[in-house]
Amino acid sequence: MVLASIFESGVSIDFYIVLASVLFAIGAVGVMVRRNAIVLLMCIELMLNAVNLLMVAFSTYHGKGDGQVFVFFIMVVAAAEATVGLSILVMAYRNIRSTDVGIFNKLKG
Amino acid sequence: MGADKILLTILALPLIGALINGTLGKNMPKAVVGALATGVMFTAFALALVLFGSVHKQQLVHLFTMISLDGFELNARLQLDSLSIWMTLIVTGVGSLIHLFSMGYMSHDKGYYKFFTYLNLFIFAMLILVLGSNYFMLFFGWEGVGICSYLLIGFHYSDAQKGIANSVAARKAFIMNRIGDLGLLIGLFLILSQFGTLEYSALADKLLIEKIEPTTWMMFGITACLFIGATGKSAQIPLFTWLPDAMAGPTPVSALIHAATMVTAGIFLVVRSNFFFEMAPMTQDIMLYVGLATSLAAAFMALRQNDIKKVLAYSTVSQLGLLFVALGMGAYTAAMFHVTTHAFFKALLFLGSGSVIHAMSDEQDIRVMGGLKKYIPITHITFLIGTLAIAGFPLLSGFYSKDEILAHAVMHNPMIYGILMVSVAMTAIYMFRLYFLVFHGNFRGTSEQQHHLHESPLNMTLPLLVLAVLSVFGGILNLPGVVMKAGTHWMSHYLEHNTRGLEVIETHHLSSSQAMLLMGGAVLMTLIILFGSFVVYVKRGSLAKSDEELSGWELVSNKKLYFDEIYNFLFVKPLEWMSERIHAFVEVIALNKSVYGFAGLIGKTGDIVRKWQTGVVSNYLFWMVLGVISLVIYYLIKF
Amino acid sequence: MELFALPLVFALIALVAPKSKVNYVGLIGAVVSMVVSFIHVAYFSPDQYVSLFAPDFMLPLGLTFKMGYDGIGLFMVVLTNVITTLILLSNLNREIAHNRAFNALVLLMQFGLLGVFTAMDGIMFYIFWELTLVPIFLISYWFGAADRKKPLMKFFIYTFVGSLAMLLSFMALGTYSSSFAYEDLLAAQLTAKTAFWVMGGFFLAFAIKIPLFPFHTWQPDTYTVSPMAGTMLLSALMLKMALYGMVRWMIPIAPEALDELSCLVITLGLIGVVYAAVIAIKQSDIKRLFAFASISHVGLIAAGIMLFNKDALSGAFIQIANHSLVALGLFLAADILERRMGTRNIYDLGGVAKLAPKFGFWFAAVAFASVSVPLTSGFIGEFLLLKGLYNYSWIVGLVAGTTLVLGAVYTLRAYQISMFGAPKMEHFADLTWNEMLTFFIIMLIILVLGIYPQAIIDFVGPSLDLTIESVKGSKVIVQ
Repeated sequence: MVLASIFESGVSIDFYIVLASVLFAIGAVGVMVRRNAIVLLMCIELMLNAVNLLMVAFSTYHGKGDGQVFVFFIMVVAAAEATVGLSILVMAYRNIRSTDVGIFNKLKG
Repeated sequence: MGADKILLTILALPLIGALINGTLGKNMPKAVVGALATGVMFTAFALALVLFGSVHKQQLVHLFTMISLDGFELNARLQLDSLSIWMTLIVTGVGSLIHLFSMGYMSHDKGYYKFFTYLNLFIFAMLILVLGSNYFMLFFGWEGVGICSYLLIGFHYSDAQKGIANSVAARKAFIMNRIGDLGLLIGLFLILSQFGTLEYSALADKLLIEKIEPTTWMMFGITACLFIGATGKSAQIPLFTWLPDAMAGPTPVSALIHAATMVTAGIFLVVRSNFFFEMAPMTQDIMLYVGLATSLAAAFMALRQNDIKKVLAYSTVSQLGLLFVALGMGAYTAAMFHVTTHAFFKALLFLGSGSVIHAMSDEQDIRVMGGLKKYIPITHITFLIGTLAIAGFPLLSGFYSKDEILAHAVMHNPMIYGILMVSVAMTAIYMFRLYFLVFHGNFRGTSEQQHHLHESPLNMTLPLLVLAVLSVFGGILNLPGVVMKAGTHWMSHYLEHNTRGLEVIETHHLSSSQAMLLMGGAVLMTLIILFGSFVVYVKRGSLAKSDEELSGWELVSNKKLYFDEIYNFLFVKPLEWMSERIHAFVEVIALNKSVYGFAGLIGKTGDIVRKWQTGVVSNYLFWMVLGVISLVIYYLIKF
Repeated sequence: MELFALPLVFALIALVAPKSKVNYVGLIGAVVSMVVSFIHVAYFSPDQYVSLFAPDFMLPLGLTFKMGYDGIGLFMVVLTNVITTLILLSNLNREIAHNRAFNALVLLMQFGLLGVFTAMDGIMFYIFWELTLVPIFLISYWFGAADRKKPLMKFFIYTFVGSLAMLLSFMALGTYSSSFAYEDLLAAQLTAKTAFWVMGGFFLAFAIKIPLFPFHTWQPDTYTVSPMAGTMLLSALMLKMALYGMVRWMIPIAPEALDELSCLVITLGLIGVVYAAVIAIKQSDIKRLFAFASISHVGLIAAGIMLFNKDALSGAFIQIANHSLVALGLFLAADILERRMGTRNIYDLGGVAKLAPKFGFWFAAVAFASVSVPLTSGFIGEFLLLKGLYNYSWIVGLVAGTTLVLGAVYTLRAYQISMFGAPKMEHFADLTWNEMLTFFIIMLIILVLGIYPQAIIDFVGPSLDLTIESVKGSKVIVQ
């Protein structure tokens, strides 16, 4: 059924929304449950990319380009963020020999 | 010079004396200080005599307006009439003699200049009290004399042994007076709210001429409040216990303030307010019975006192009680007459006792005196005159003035006359006891004291002599109409013709035969007591017992009916207890603890809430996502 | 402008002045401001309003920045300047670690106070009100006793909570008015319920500052741990801000709630009068004792203000001046005792009057002024206040009147125990010239006002009349 509808009318926006939601949810759950900082960073990237996907999809859907422009911004920011994040991580690893975020609880009340 | 200028000069003189002595006195020789203070007093007295001769109708001297608000005006204004002039004469006259006496009595004191500063200041306040034309001015003087009294009672505050006791007595006097003052102040508010003015003459006009009739309760309230004020200053039950303690002050002070002038301020107040009291018979009755009770109780307490000044102090309280009985019966001029003679003979007695104490090297206990008549003859003679005068010995001043009051009592109610006679008899008993124990018998003090015994210098004996003369002849001022008709009751007429309110009050006089009978009875009683005392103290040589030997009524009399103990138990202790308890429980526990408790509660809450801050990023994210989801769900349901 | 800005200038000068001279710089600053305010008095007629600062633009939020004074305001300005001068005068020979900061803070405090008394705009009033909290807190915190931290925290939080309540009231008022200018706020028509809450907010702020029972627990502790100048500023000036605020802001702005709240405030004031006086009877710490005495005295003033008639208000202003001066004198005496003997416990003192007769005399004079005997301004003030309260209800008058007796009890007791008897110490240095001059000026003013109180009545009278009129007027409109 689904496949048929795809073949008939092309990929509708709904599919993109569902796919992006699933990706975002995976990313979010990953951030919440995993403790390895590298995995966390990857999950954050996953969430960002889910948003990017949605942006691009809607941009095509509305026939406007500004969504795609935003995606470039996000990709740049994400790259910058990954750079800073990874370098912090490397520094942290050098100090405590671990990438487990559970150890960074200095803000505990 | 007009009367107003003279009046201002009279007022200014003691103030100037006080200012000069107070600021420069420390570096001036004692003779100059004393001469200045005494000089201004005699000048003031001379000027008062001029006023006495020249002013024959009421006169107001407006100084300035102190407070002027929408509803009322309070003025610094003076009033000249018979009553105020008469009181001025007493204050300056007796005051000058006592100043003169003090020059000798205080000659060895380090605070010589301070003493005269305070005395002059006292005279100034007293003059404001008697000369003011309204209750506001009266209140100024009223509290002013209270402060001077405080300063003078506690004059020897740094004395090694008695310093604390002196200052406690001073404080007691001030606070008890303050209680009375509060009553007076409320009386002032009552008058102000009812009549809108505090001027005597305006009030008298409203009551006597416009015939405004306030409610009975209002009149009762006003007069009762005024009377409470009077009980404080004039040492009546229940506010009398400060006066005997006030004897801690130097003896001239006791003579001037606590016998002759300040304590009669209450009498003056009532006489001034006669138009109020005449419309409040209920207060008059209260006054009568309070006076009666005070007179009796104080006379009883005086029976077994062994401090020469304390005996005289209780005697003063008792005499003031007698005066209030007179006022309660509406015998205002009789009361003023007795105030005058009392000022003479009580000042004489106090100064005499001062002379005795001076001779005895500051010893006040009559148990160690005795036989002093051969060492200090002038003091002895004058003291004897004073004793006879107060005991009501025939033809001396006290005889006439007391008799006048007794005569009123007979007409008012024979029962009261009877009770008064008991008090009068007790007066004679304790006074003769005092006289015989001090001046007769053998000397009982140490040989050192005996060695020092000496008659006082002239500046001390001169006032004694003058006052003795006045005590003998003071009765002439208001002779009763027994023997002759002309020239009698001179003082009553003088006061009545020019004092608001008094002119309308009818004074009744006994018929000659009744008067003779009363006088005869009084004379007989005095003579019997004189003879009895002579037998007991001179012939049998009885002595005053030491404190341990006292029992029964003697102990009760010596312990002043335990008034101080009762007050201590009823008021002082509970107040102190309350102060400590309230501080411990309400202030510290209830209020302070609750404030800190509230702060602690916030801290505790923080302790609980901060646990949520785990410091683990995943947890924060979890709560964030949960929040987002719940928000989404909330809006989904809502729309 | 120069009327309230001068102290700020001198505060800055004091910060850079040479250390040895800075006390004199501070004193000169205060004296100059005082002289300036006297000049203003000379050109002032009591029925006029003088604008000091009124920019012709208005900010969008309704801020007008108006400043000016009428009789009441100028009276408080003069009082502030005189008291600050006296405080700096009495501090002249006190060695304090950071004299620069100290003098600058006192002058900053003066600036804040002058701002409070000349602000004619609600938000300006609030800003200056809060501004005064900074210097007084720092004075007490930097120069106070060793155990100062806890009481000062309490003081700060207490007063800050009160101020926030006032801010809320101002914000609520802002919605009823076009701007925060005084006259616009006066014209604002409130419903009875709003008026109640608005007045309640003001009341909380003022009741804490005054302080009224039961908001007073910060006061004895803070007075005790503060340095002399801090205690003096707190009792002589800061609490007067609140009393002034009641007359100028709280009642005229929300007069609709006056009847509702007056009963409560008068009751609290009276409880404070008796309660604090009774506690003071058995206090042994002389500063604490005077702190309770202060609560007792100001309770009476607050109760009198709530009557809002001219007699009581005139009495209140006389008593405000009197209490400032008396508090100054009493705390100076307490400080002299503490400084020379190292103790505040009156039972450790005794016989001082013999060793230091000048001090004995001036302390006694101030003590009698505190007992409000006639010839001192305290008597006139209490007479008018008690008369007003008596007319309100005779029971209230009677209860308030006990202050006369209880005041005599605790003041004379403290004086007697510390000053009379045989001396317990070898040596007690008598007054220095500046202490003596301070006492002399205090007593001089007290006596002059006690003999001729009409001067104050005439000075603040017209402004009081206007304020009372406006309060009566708006009451009628609502009814």
